[in-house]
Amino acid sequence: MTPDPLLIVKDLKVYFDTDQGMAKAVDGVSFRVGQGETVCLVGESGCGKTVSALSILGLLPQPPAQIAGGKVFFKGRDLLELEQKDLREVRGREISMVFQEPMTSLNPVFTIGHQIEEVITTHEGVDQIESRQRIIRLLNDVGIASPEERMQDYPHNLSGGQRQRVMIAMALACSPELIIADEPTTALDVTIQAQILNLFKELQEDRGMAILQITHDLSVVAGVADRIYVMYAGIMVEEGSVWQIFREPCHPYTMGLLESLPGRRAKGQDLATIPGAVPDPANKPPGCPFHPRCRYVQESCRVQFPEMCDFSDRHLARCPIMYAKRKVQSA
Amino acid sequence: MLAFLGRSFVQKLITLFFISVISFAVIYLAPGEPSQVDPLNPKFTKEVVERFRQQFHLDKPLHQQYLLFYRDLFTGKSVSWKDGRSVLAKIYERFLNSLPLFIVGTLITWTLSFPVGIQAAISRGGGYDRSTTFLAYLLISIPGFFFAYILIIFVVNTFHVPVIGMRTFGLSGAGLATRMMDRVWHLLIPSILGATAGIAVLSRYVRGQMLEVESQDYVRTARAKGLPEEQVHYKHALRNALLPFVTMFGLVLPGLIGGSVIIESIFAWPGIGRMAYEAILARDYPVIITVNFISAILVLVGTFLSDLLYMVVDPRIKL
Repeated sequence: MTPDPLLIVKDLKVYFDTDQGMAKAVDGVSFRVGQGETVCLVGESGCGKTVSALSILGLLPQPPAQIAGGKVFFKGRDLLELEQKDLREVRGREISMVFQEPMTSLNPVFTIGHQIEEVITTHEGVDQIESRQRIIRLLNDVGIASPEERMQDYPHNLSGGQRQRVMIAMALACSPELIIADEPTTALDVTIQAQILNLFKELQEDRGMAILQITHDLSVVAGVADRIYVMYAGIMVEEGSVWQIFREPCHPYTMGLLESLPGRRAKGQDLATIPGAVPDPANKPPGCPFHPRCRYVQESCRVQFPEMCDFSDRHLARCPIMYAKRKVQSA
Repeated sequence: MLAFLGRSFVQKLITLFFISVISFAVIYLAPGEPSQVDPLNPKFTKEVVERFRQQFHLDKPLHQQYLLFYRDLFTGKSVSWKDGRSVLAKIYERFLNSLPLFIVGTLITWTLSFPVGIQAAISRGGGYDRSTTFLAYLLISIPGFFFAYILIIFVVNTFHVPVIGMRTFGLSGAGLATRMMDRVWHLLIPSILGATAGIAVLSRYVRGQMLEVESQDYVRTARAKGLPEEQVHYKHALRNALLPFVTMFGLVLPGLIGGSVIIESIFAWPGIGRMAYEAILARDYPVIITVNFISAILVLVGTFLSDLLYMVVDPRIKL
């Protein structure tokens, strides 16, 4: 790991002003992405993963969203403090995004060649011939056959997997240092998922950019991540390397997630679940937000917001109860 | 493509046939008859009425009347029962009068609605959006004839120009500039009046479309690419928001012959709307049915054109 991370998100807070009150979608989230690393943000739907990712590039519509606090350092600059004009320079050039829905993320009325070209001409003053060659090279790199013809196509001519490849080509167009991929494979079927994940891996080996993967699918995480951050109800509950998280999960929520993986039970047995549901972000329980669903819950969990505990080398979890337990076991 | 053209043409012909039957039947089955419009008039003796009925085939069964009527129409022999003039010539003359009103009104409507609606969508919830929303509802709710009088009083009192009719009589000796300005003034108020309701409705619709498109994923993608806001709004969002208006554009065409009864009546404008209205009062069947028939053709042509236009603007549509 590099000593100076590319992206540092520090205590980010994003609130939504709703009719039911202030929804704290992201409430003090911190994580970092090193150069060339793949980092995964994992959590259930609605835990604030996507909101965190979108606020890095200022892509959340404000209002209703508001950044209530925190810092997002990218190569030493706080992106939240940047002027719109400077932020636009970062978008697509230094950090680009791949979205969840390839079916709707491309504009239906422009050819894909044109949509990729826009990124190049917006950020770099290159002539048509050169940008054309670059588009062909990019489409080739993301595994689209006969790119010269494909670049004249409209999104509706392509399949979901191909569209996601186009989205990735678009994200790569200006060789960014960081790609934020927001559930890039969720909308695709399983074989295509594997292809896209492999593509990310290969591209990363070739180009050495960092990837922030956002996903709810732990099987995706295992194959690609260097580091994992587990989110629950707008807060970070556990972070560590893939090895640490899968081998010895420390937070009861992470344990529950891992147990609910289909491979963990014998055939014919019901899948394990975590009882209860994710709390409403406008109306979170006091103390630890996970306590109503936690099997290790104790009195203190209901009143006191838990601190991050340092379990081992760069493996942290927000659960003092488990921390105390492990201490006793190892002693 | 050719298959589409052929299929569409045949479909539209069939539709037109049914329209011709229904509009003919509706008008003939409506109570009243040309010979009964003025029963107290001493000139309408029994013999005159009978001769009249024979002359215009009113004594024949309905299906024969239908055939005779459309034969006359297509051979150009159809005449108005009121003054015996050729129906097509009458309509053409009134159409030329209504045309400037229609063109100016439509231009004002379409050129104003789009900027207003787009701007309101972009500044959603802001001061501009709120005030245009308020204005739009005000203009939709205010009765046209009432608003017309307010406009007339305002213009006449402020600028001291006559606004009723198509032009001021007795100006033939004046210079070209004076006569031009006179025509412009006469044209302006009814056009603006005709456009107000249109602007109010259309700009709301533009705003709604634009808002819907602005929340689409591809607009977020455009922003994430680092494109300037103008390109995000006016290229990526607007291009998609415009698609449904292709349909509306096709429906503008029938307005060519529709005219507006209220506006033409208020401003004593000898337009096509008033002619049709007067024809209805006089049971002047040939005029009513011909106007009806032409506007049916225009509707069909309009929808056909918008189908073609769709193919040009939306790459997903192949005909």
